[in-house]
Amino acid sequence: MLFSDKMAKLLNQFKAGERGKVEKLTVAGPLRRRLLDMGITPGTEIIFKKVAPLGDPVELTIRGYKLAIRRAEAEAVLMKTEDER
Amino acid sequence: MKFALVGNPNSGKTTLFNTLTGSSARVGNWPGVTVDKKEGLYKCRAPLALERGGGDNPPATKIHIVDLPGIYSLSPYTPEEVIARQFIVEEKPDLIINIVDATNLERNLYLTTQLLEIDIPVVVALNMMDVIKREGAEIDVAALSGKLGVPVVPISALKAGDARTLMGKAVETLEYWPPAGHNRPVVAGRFPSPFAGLYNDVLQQVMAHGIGHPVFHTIKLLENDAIELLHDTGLLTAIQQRKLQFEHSATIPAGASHPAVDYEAEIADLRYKFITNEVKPAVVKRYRNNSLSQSEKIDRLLTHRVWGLPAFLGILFAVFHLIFAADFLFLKRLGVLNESVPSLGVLLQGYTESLQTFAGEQLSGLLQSANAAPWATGLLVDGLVNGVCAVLTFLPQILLLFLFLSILEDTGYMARVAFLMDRPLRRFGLSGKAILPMLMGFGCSVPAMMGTRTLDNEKEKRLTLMLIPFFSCGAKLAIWSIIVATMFPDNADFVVFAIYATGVAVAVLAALALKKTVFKNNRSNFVLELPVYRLPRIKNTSLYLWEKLKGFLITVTTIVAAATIVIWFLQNFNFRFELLEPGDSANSILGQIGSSIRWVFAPLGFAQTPDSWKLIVAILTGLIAKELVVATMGVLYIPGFSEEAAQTPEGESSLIAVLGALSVFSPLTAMTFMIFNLLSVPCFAAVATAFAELKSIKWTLFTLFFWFTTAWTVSFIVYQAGALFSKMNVATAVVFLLALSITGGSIVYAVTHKNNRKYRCSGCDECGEKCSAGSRRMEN
Ligand SMILES: Nc1nc2c(ncn2[C@@H]2O[C@H](COP(=O)(O)OP(=O)(O)OP(=O)(O)O)[C@@H](O)[C@H]2O)c(=O)[nH]1
Ligand SMILES: [Mg+2]
Repeated sequence: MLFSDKMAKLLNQFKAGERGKVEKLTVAGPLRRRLLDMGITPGTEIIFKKVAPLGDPVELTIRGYKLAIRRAEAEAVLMKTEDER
Repeated sequence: MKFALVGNPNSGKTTLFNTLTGSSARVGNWPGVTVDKKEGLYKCRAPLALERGGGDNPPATKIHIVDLPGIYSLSPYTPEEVIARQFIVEEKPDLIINIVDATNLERNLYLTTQLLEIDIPVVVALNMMDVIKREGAEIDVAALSGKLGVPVVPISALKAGDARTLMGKAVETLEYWPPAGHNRPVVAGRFPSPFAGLYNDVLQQVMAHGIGHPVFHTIKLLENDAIELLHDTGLLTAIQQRKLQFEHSATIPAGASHPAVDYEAEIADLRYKFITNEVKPAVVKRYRNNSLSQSEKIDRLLTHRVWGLPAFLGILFAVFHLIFAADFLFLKRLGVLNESVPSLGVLLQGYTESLQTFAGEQLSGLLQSANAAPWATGLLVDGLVNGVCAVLTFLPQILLLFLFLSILEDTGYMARVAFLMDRPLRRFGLSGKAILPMLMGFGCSVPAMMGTRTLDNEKEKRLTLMLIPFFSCGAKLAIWSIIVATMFPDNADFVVFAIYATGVAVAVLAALALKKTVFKNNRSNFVLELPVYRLPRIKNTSLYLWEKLKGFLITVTTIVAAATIVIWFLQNFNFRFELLEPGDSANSILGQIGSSIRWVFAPLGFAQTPDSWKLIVAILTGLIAKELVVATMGVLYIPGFSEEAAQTPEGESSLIAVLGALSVFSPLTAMTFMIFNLLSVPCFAAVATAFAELKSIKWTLFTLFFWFTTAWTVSFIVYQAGALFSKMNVATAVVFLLALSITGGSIVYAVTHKNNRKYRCSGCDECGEKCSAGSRRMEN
């Protein structure tokens, strides 16, 4: 990872305004299915928009619409970001 | 013939259904409004005949339109989505009208690619074209139709003309199905080569078994989601073996790191790739989404980290203020005006009240001049008029409440409330999505309880359902109105707000108690689309209000009218069916029944005078319909009053004046009476709905017990604690209730905060798998 300008990061660790691309989902079962159905598939760009008043859930923009998911669910999305230089 | 409306949540299916069938099913700007299938008859058949060129013989077949709950994919996640998949796959409609939200093409077409795999003709209705036009975006409809291989009709679901064109196309499609150039299915044709071999083998086997919708079921088998084929164990094991064989073969493409192939992700990916790489570039000529950026601006305040929650409370208070405040905008209290201006709700209520007093007087005058028998006058005036009018007085306020609720639902704010409230609610075993049915409970418990179907977790569903009656429904509003107008006219809005707040506070405490006892280990997810804000539509709102008005008038003219007559009889006859002297109603059937269970209610304060059997009867009739509480009070208090008491305030015989003059309540007992009604067993219709949703006698009985005990206990505590203050005035009453809510809140906070660390740690059992998996990956 040292030599790459891409950084792997969990969606959960994003800050408001940050964007990145989906690398893979790390959950199994119905939740995984749901996230895929909502359009969180590998390569999709996600903008991490904002965080709810009490720190959770978070708001994303994905495929041109807004989706709210919890941090626990965002933790299941492994992301690639351009490294901030 | 049956046409099914299928599409993503919030894409406009119900709007189209209403346009097609002339119904007025509930529409709202949030995902999950429709939770059950609903059938209607296509009302306009003539244009179809024209388009078929057979003007003389219009088609004799009736077209039934079925509105279904919204789905994001054919893999159901919540109970209401199961309804949709079952209908599509098992009940085999003749045609699927796939509503696609043109402003959200990518995700909407994902479902379309799945529908194309089912062996049912599909017509795509590209909805929200008015928005596309307004924003200056452009979509090539013909190109879209070419890519999908099915007809696409651009529509705006509200326009009858568009709906007719759509139906014409649908009927035509049925005749020429499958259309020329029809190239479905999308996914199967695009599998990479080793995968394609597997797919073809499975497809062969499925076809050999003679299973309907072979393409659909083949893909579902690959995804391990073939819920319809579970009984066919032979086929399942055969397929499983074939899949294992595939996974162990050397032909797995390089780069697939996982030992087992991730079919679900591969297939979802194929679908989305088809849409983003093939469809969108050819179809979307110009893309603009101003409403999305506009929504973002609005959300800067409404979901702001600091102001989001205060804004929510502010909006709720504003609603109560507009409905109940006698001193609008506090103009008098602030010294701006000398006279207070009533808010809209109070103003309108005043008008209806005087109108009804006038009508009542006219009627009794008429009866007197017609020399009607005294019992007939009694029955009509004392029973019917008093009972029915007592309820009707509050019609304006009830309608206003529904107006505001409907505006909240139509704008898209409801989903934001779920977003704001998810974290606070999670401590109580609920998710933010549970707030949607709860807020609907402010209107009516029945649809609210049905709305719990959108919750994916059975425990959460039950818990939410049990809490819904604590969210004071529209019919109970009449109770609050009558009592605050009698006891707390100057602070009506605050007291009513406090009542609603008490309901919410009790719901929170009860949720916590139930979470710790009955519903342990409740784990839920929260994945919710936030729709763009829309201006409330006058048509939606007025239809909704009209439905409510109709429903209310029907209840009043049937249940309430009949019940008031029965109540009038029961309070004028004793158990030996002898007509009692006026004023002797304590010995009547109702008086006896009410008095015999007075001991149950005596500790709650409002049932301590001998006369208080009337209040108990009112509570009991409330079990039939909550409107009856006030109606019963009207029948039981007003007639006695005009005969016994000499000090009638001039011309006033309304229930408010009577309750005031008779001192039925003290401020404290008024509070406990309201609280008991707020929390106790809801009306019969709601209980029946609860039973239907809980699907279990045991759970229903437990729920009934829970409602009654909560109501009794909370009223008891409030009364006993309140009695400590020798004389309670309004300010203390409100302060007391608020203090109670705050104490309750802090207890809850203290209790739940012990677990606080749990949510941020790694390696707990709340989120164990996920976070340990995540952190391991980070270490690599
Ligand atoms: N501008 C515009 N708004 C529309 C149109 N069709 C529907 N809407 C709005 O979209 C929202 C959702 O409409 P519904 O008909 O309730 O959607 P639904 O697909 O039935 O939603 P669920 O029942 O939740 O699955 C409402 O606010 C409608 O007013 C349209 O053609 N143009
Ligand atoms: Mg609907």
